[in-house]
Amino acid sequence: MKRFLLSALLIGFGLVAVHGPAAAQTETFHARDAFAQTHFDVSGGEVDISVFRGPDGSGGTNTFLSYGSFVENPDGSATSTSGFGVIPSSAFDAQTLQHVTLNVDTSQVAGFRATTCIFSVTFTVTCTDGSPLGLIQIDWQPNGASSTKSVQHLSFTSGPFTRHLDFDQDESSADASGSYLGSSFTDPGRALVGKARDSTVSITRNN
Amino acid sequence: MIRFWVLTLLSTLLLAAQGMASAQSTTFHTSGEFAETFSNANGSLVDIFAARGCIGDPCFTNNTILVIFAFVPTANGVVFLDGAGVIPDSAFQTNGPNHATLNVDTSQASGFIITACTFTPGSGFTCQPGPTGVIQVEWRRTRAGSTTLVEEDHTTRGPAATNTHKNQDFFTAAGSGSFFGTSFSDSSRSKIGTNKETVITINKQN
Repeated sequence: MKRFLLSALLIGFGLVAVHGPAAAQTETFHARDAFAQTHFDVSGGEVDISVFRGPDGSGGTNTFLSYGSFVENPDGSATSTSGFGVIPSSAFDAQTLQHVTLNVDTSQVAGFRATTCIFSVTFTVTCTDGSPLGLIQIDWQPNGASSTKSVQHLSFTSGPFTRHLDFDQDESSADASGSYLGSSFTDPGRALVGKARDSTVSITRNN
Repeated sequence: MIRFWVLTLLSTLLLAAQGMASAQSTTFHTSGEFAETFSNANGSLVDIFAARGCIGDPCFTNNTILVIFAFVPTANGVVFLDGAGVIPDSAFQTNGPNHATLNVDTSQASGFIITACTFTPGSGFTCQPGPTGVIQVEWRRTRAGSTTLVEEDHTTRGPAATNTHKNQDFFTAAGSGSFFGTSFSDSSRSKIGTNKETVITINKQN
């Protein structure tokens, strides 16, 4: 039951960028190696972070990071943030899936994209590019609660983004802890580490 | 020599028959409303799935089913809880995709069976009837997004292996409630929606 909805919130593990019509921009990514995910609650909402390793198209590897949050505000509006892009491979240590780490400052990563969208009370959405960016540090360790072989096809729409995910991967439940853009967090038991056999995500921004 | 092989064959068949007798398989078909939450309840990981559906294949009746899994760390190791079965329809209430509640006392639901399995290194799993009591959950849809999902899973949790085929449309949700007296809340992994045809088969070796 573990295909977590919010793993789809902002998955950016990929590679090939395909730019469509001016009104819609689609990026497609591929993952075929280690990955790790964590999702944790914050006041009024949640945060989702995923990191993947995949081919770079020329015989090497790339590492991709995506993160996002969705928080209901007291005034009835909601704030959705997202970021994704290629990060230095040295930032993601997954030599053994018994202990996986991420340590990256996305404000220092050229080409990393970030967007903040405000959902009004009437569900209109206003987005601004350029934030949030910053330091993300995470430790993952498997906890033995479950292991899953999963094939899934998922389409997730949040605000101006639609994501089509095709996953073929093995995953194990894990504990995660660390800091996200200056705030510490723990995700005891519900994080994931694993290996993608052949996974793909397409992210389309509709405006 | 022939006698030896006959005895060996008989022994093998007997052991195989015993193995088959201890393996249990239950299949649930679900179509219609469902809600699910995956929470951390005071250190225990709890997955609660409530849906309209039935046991059996083909599906002749329309019931409400509840499937739960829990991973409970203890001082000596861990306990895997797995429970599944039919509960009263009134225990699971939904108001479209915006709100749902589960309120069931599993001690009063004769169709619901729960097992607790403890893992002991060197001895494997020891299973016995699990705890019963009240499980309450309230789901409220959030605006984070909507999902269409088709999925095939094979998941191992302790001695239970679950094969799942999901075909679902759902919204993100916030879930909160209590699991046998322990409170929990979850803003990131709950969902509320509709099963188009989801099949869950749980195989247990103990």
